[in-house]
Amino acid sequence: MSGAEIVRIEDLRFSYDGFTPILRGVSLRVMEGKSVAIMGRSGSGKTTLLKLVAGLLAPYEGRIELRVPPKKIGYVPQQIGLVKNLTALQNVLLGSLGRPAGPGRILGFFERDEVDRAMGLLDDLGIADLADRKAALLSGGERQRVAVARAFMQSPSLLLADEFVSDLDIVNAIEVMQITGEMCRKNGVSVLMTMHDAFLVRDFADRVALLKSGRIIQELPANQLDPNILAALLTVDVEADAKS
Amino acid sequence: MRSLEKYASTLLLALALLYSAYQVGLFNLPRLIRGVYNLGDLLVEVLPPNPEIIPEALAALTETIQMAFIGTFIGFLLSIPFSTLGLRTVFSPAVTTPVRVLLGAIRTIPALFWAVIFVIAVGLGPLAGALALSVYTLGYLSKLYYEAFEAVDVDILDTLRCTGASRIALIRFAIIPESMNTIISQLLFMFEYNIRSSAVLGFVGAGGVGFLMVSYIERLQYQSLTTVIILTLLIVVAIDAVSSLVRKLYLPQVRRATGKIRSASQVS
Repeated sequence: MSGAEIVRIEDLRFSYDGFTPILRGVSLRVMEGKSVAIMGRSGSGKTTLLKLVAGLLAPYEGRIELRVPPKKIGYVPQQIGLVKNLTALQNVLLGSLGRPAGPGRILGFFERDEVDRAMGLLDDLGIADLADRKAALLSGGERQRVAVARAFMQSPSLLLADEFVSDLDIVNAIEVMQITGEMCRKNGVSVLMTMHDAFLVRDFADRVALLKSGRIIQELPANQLDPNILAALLTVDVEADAKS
Repeated sequence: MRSLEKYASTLLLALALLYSAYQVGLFNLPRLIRGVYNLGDLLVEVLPPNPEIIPEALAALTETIQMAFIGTFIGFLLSIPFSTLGLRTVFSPAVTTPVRVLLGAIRTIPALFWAVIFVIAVGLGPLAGALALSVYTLGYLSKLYYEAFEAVDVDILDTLRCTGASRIALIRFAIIPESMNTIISQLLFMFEYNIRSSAVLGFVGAGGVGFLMVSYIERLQYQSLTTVIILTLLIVVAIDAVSSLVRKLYLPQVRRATGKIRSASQVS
């Protein structure tokens, strides 16, 4: 299962405006079936890094090698990104939009087996009873579950989750993490996520990378994470600031 | 220094105001006084309204409403593809820029002028009015729509792009449902607006109640004109009421919000 690299990032540099560097040479690997959490202050470039891996942004310099088929990246953005006027089930079905379909789809008709699969995923996440509720009326935890189900609708090889479960209370956060972790293990899905809760990172990630001022300053097994290591994120990176 | 600039700009503004008022003739007191007397004379002439022309006026008003209805509908149908082609979040500037320039050019020309153009093209009558309103609606609704569409959360588009969804799927399953409230409310607004402006289109021969108004003015039948104006006012108010009813039916969010406020005040 493990051994092969599914994501390989080499000396990645990025800037939105061409002047202010956001990433200043990030190198990172995600092994198949493993999960890597990126920790760092807001503004350290975590979201940008995920968007680059997702192919939503183009690298300025450096390279990203993915061993993932094109439509097999599941993305759960920080703001969840559900269509509020659609129901939970319809939102999950959006995950299958990349698949070839007949002319009926543009009218809103999805294949029977797709609907069954979407219902199955909602059931796995414990919200099958909310299938017909509009996303606007769901709670934060329910929305997060719908977003996970939508990503799994793609049968992803890689799951990218930005500030995963950040907006949830701790009980909900642990529950969603447990279910998602189980689904990833079962399907051999690799995970690259950003997260700010050190407890959740230790419990649910295999490795953790600390991102600071656009660079990975340390990468280690998640169970070795301790407050002293996290403190490194707090100090000012003199060298990087001098360069900017 | 700063206060000097302030005084200078205030003085300049005051001078501009006084000069403009003089230019338009606001200081010509005898003329203004004469105007008051003339208005009094007009008031005597327009009253009472002439009830005999009510059937004629209602027929013309029906034509006006039909013009606005058809014009809004065609303009709406056209505005959906045009506004999506103007979407900078979905299409490249090579597509969006020409589309936006075209829509801008359409908006620059007032509805009344479009009516003149279509009267020349298809002749006098409501067809010219309906076509003029279609084009005018296309220009305005498209702009209102692409602005609403561009406000759709970029996270939604990002997620669907990761699924490999096509641009059409993106528009059909994310952008349009997410903007549905705006689509409906702007459409109703446009219909109300078109009812009002279609009343004026008749002035240049594009059918409807405006045509009738002009003919009464030309024949100095001011009492008949009063009847038409009163009826138009009533119809406009009625249409506004109907469209606010439709708004309530199709925009559940509005209903829910008021419900919540009521229950909140009951609790406290």
